[in-house]
Amino acid sequence: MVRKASRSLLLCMLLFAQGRTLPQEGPAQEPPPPATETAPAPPDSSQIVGDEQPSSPEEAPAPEIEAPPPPRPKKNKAKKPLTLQEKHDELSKDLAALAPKGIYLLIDTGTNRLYLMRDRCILRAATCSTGSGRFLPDLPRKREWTFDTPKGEFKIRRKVVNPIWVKPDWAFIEEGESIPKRREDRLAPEELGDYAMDLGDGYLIHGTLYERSLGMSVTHGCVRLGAKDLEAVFKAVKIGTPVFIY
Amino acid sequence: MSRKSAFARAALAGLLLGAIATFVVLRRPVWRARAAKPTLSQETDLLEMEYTLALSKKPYLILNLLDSRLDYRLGGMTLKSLPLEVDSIRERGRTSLPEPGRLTLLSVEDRGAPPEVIVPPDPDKPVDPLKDPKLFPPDPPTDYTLLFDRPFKLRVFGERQEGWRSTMEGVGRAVVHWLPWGPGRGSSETRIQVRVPAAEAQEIYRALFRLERVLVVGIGEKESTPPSEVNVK
Repeated sequence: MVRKASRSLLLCMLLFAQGRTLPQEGPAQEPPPPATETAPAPPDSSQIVGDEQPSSPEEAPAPEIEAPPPPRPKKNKAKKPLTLQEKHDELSKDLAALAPKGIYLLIDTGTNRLYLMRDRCILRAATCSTGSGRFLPDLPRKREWTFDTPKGEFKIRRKVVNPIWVKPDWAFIEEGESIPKRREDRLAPEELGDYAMDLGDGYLIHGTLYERSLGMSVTHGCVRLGAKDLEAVFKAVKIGTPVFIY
Repeated sequence: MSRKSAFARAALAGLLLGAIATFVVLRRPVWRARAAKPTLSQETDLLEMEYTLALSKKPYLILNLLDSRLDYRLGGMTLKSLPLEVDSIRERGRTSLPEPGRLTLLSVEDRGAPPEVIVPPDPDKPVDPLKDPKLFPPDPPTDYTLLFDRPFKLRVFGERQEGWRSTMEGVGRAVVHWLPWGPGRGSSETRIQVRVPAAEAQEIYRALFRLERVLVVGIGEKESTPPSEVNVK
């Protein structure tokens, strides 16, 4: 202990003698590697990579240790309470800051309309179909489904061209059909149209074979679009584009 | 006997006249005219309450009884605003007027109608494609009452286009309003009845979801007072 203390005291004295400040206390740093004696390489050599090491520690320039910035004068005054007007303005500003910027999608399940937006401008308005809200019980297996389109803020997670639908159990139960055991029997290649955009949890924005039912709440929770609108939306959005469903 | 019947007739006629008068009065946007403009403090309270809602990633509604409109909001932005007519507000059985400083935050518990249950088709009985609910679903209701997590009921009445049927429905509602055992009388809950076009009533119904947050402006608990240290400009 005494040795350590005397060593650090000596180090302090040396450093002060050189006009340097003490480094901040922290975890022990590894000492720099000792300089190795190497034959000086010709200046036109391209074999030397990296910084040149000094030949001996004495010749090495002193490492510059940045002095910590001078502490800011502390304000003795307590934080000034906001006036009502300031509080009002701050809240208004905070609320406005939450609004999305750039490209995003708005989906109105009440009117079955989809809007492709940029900032506050509508780039494209389309008729879509959203969840029917219908309820399907599967009594023998004690399962149930409610076919609602989820509401809230989502993001495009994946973009798929020529998607193939792997029909879940409810698609067969709804039709009164037996649930197939083989995966191949569940594939429906053309059901989702040419493109699909994944919103997560199995919900997609996709095309439909039944364009006549666009504008009605008929889906199992996904958002269906007509072929032209689907293509335009698919090309406009990127992975991560926000989608707001209300 | 004749006196009694004459009295009954007069009472009936009075009730009918009262109902017609109420109907005529209720058709006008009386609330909007009477409601006072909210103060800065009240607006700030509303913003403060809304900010917490806006931080959630779910849409929420603002039922503004002062401005007679229903706003669909998400993340602080108004997605849609539907005008409506406030027919009546009853708090603990008494008719009341909306006040700017009063706010209530509610959560939808029930849309007032159970969801339609899908019955798988019988393979022996082919379904008419034009009647297939998968392709052509039944219309949502135009008249329903929303239930919330607190003793609060909101009746949304979807009004059809002008016509004798609409008028008769209006008179009927006014009669019910006057009845001693009418909605909200003697109860400890708050009941609000709003009127919108039928298509909009269906639109509201379709988009509602369980536990959706509704901030009601105009009624609620005691009016909030601004903190004393805040300087009002």
